[in-house]
Amino acid sequence: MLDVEAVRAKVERTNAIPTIPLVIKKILMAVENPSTSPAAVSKLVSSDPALTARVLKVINAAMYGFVARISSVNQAVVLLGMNLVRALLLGISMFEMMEQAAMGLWKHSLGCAIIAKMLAQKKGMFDPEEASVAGLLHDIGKVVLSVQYPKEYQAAVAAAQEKSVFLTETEAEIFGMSHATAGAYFANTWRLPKFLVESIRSHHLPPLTKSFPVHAATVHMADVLVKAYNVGYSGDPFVPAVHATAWELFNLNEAQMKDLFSEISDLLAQVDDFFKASKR
Amino acid sequence: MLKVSVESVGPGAVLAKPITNETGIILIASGVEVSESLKRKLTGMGITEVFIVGKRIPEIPKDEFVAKINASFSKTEEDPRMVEMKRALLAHIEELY
Repeated sequence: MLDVEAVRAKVERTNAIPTIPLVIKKILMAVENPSTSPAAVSKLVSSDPALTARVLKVINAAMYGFVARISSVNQAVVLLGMNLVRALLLGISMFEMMEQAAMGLWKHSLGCAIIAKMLAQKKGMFDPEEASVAGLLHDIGKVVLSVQYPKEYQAAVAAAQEKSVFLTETEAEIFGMSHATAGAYFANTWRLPKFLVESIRSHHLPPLTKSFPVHAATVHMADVLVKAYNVGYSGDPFVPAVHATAWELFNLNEAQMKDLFSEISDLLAQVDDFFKASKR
Repeated sequence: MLKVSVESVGPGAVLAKPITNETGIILIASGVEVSESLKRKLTGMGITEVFIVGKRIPEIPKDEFVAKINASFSKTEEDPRMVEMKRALLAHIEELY
């Protein structure tokens, strides 16, 4: 097992990764500073048109049901607020670093974002856009660990398959922490909004958070549902059990659950289309 | 809901999602029937694909889908909530094909 403190330090020092493209590095540095103006961030992102296109595509897909509602980074900041846009830029930049290997995880995450938003809208308990961002970034710890420890992370995924256990177990064996904990360290270092840090930390065990139990339960439920539907690849060979708190929060009987799967089926089919279109 | 090319839309098909412009303003509401004249209009607007109401058959064969679900739920067979979730999912899949 790796030294836990060393893993934590490496997870928290993501801005020191040598392979990060310059524009991403600049963005990461800019978003790290909470006093950076929205205009400055928009300008930075817009300096790379390909990146701008990808960022807007993800925001429209995850937050607005694939309708192209947002057409500039500036507009995204106005509609979603600087904090959410910072978190999205950071998350997207991290996923960009994983490249091809991340496609399955990206798909899983986008699916989770859309389902989390739908669940939040159904319950009307909190801002659905927060649910969407939390869904998109819930597995950011996997991205960070695999960027910082590519070989070891691959070994954790392979060992989970081989031993037929949950990924969190092999992660704990190798890193001394799960991707949920690693993701929370990362989100905290980058001063992401508290609801994000807490939903990332608690997405496998919602009662872990005292301050954002509903956010965490919503992301947890979305994660389980997307894994159940087998869309994308989270690296986990099995669907984890829904925690009692999330189950009780949504309180669905079997018929309602079946209807929910029909809705999910429509939404996830669009995620499929999104990825097919991206490959072209 | 199905995503199809405008030219392949058959008679009687109904929009499942509105047609919007780049800024998200709704140009044609959902629920509108896609007539031949609307198809020409859409093509003229440079729109090549639309969402129509309908059921989409998954690309993956049913047996394969069910086998995947059985495998991924195999760790939670003792959990009554997950048993219920799996039953609901399998019932939904029955309706898909």
